[in-house]
Amino acid sequence: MSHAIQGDPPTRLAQLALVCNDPPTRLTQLALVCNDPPTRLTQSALVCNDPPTRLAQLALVCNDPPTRLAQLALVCNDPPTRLAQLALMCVVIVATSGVATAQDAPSLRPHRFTIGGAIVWSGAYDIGEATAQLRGNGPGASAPPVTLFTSDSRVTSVASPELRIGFAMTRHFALEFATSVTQPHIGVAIAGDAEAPSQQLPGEKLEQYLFEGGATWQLPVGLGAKLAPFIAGGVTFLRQLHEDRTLAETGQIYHAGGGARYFLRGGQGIGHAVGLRGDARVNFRRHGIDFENTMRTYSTFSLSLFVGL
Amino acid sequence: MTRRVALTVALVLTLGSSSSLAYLKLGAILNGRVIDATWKQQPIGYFISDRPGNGVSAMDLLAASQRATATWSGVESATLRFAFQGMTSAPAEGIDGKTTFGFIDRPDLDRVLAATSFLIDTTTGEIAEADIFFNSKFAFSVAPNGQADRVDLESVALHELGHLLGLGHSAIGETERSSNGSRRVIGSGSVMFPIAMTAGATADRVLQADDIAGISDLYPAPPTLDTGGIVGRVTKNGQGVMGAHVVAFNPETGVLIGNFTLNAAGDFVIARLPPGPYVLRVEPIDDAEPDSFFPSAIDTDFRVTYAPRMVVAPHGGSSPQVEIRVQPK
Repeated sequence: MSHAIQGDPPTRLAQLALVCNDPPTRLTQLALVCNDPPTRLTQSALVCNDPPTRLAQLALVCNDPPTRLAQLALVCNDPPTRLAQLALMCVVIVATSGVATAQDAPSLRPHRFTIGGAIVWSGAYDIGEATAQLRGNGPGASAPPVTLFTSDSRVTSVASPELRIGFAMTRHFALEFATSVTQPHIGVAIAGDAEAPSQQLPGEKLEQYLFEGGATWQLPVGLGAKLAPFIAGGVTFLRQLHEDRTLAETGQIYHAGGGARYFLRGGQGIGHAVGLRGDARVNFRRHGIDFENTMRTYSTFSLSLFVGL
Repeated sequence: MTRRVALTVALVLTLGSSSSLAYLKLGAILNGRVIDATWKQQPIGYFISDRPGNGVSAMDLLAASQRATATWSGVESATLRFAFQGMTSAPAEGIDGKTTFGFIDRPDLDRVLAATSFLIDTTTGEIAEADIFFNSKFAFSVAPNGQADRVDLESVALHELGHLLGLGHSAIGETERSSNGSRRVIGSGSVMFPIAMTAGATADRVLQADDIAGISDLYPAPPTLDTGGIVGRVTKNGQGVMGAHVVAFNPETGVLIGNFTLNAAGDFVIARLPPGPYVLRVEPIDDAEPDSFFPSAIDTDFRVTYAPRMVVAPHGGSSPQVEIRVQPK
């Protein structure tokens, strides 16, 4: 162990090796070799450059009793496929980084609220094709129908403001509520009309009210002292009003995704944090205005400014 | 003091003649206002003339009429009842206080399969009597699956009963000209389309959405079902268009329901629509002779045009006014 701490100051990888290892192992040796100063890239390269068997050995050596890391390495090692190797490497990188940075990564203050304002861009999605058909003329009761025209409807993409309030249950886990009002259009493409050219109608303007409840979990991944990635999920109540507010429909949106908080200030557990946040999501919309009543998938991206209270 | 007038409305179902319009209602003018012509008392009693037709008997006509009246009575959103009163030796024409259906040989009407005539109280709009004659010049059939070269009697009866109840012709349909100048139906969206299907076809034994909307507007079932209307105006060069055919299409249900602009301002109303957004399509009456529908001149010089956006039929009431601007051909 003594030579393993000869770094001045000890690097993160060396620290990791020390934590894992008594007496010094191949890992600490490797870390020392690689260290002066080891960047994250070299750390990754170190892990990745070893063949899978070595990786498993390292994990085992590192570990008494066996850890999840070693288990993963072992699982992957008999025989390791290329994909499994890559996946394992990623897990190892994330896990080691997490261990390495858990104490230093910025995070929300537990039991405090955050408030934020965002600009959200929502992608377009189809809401159904339909064919206007006439009863066909022919003997019997079931002559083939005749198409008068077809319509293909789509909710257009839209950018909109959003208000978001969060409550950090822990440093890494937060509950959130968000609301926004958006005004996309329903665009309609007409085709197949023997008496009129195919055309895109300007469409109807919708008014959408979204009320979202969800949670974020900050990943144990160190991306520096200011950046903290997270994953997110939740459900949204959707209320859609047709133009002229003559008819309302409701639905639900389920989302999963992730993003990162970039702390401009704070994030170390004291003081009020201020930062930027980026989100990318996949949304699964159910019900609401839809002419085929099927689940629709679309993406959203948002950028927000948040303040810890 | 009531005033009654006898009308033989040009409500004829023709073979190879003209086409196209969505539901119209028959009306009477009272104090300058048009009121719907409807039956005020139900059940609507009718007699069957005992004269046989071409290829079918009077009893066949009775059976076909009973099926057709049951079809109209079966519309859930409307309240209709019929009652067969008996057979009669009287012809299905003239004012005799009896509503009669029967065959009459009219070889002079070589394109008319059947026609309906009315006696209407013009002070109330009440239909006092109506007769339906089926032209024995044509060979009819009551075969369950239709019969080649014979016109399906039940389909014709269903159409004429629509007139008897107060519906005019519908224009939802497309036709093509044949070499002899007559029109052939390509497809129709209403039993009330004015041109019959090909002989042997039986599809028009079943009502379509346009027919149901029309009859529900005339005889709404209590309590009124959850429906809404779309109102608007068709204009060309800033002026209203008279006689434009406006069709509302619901992309969710596939329903097609139509109506016309019925005044010089180009105003139209499409009532009894299930709530939801609709694509509106405006077309000139060019699949039929305009005088099949309107006694006065109408404008047919414009292109098929779609409303710029979908229009919503609300839960009850009507949509805000929508203007559809058409261009000359």
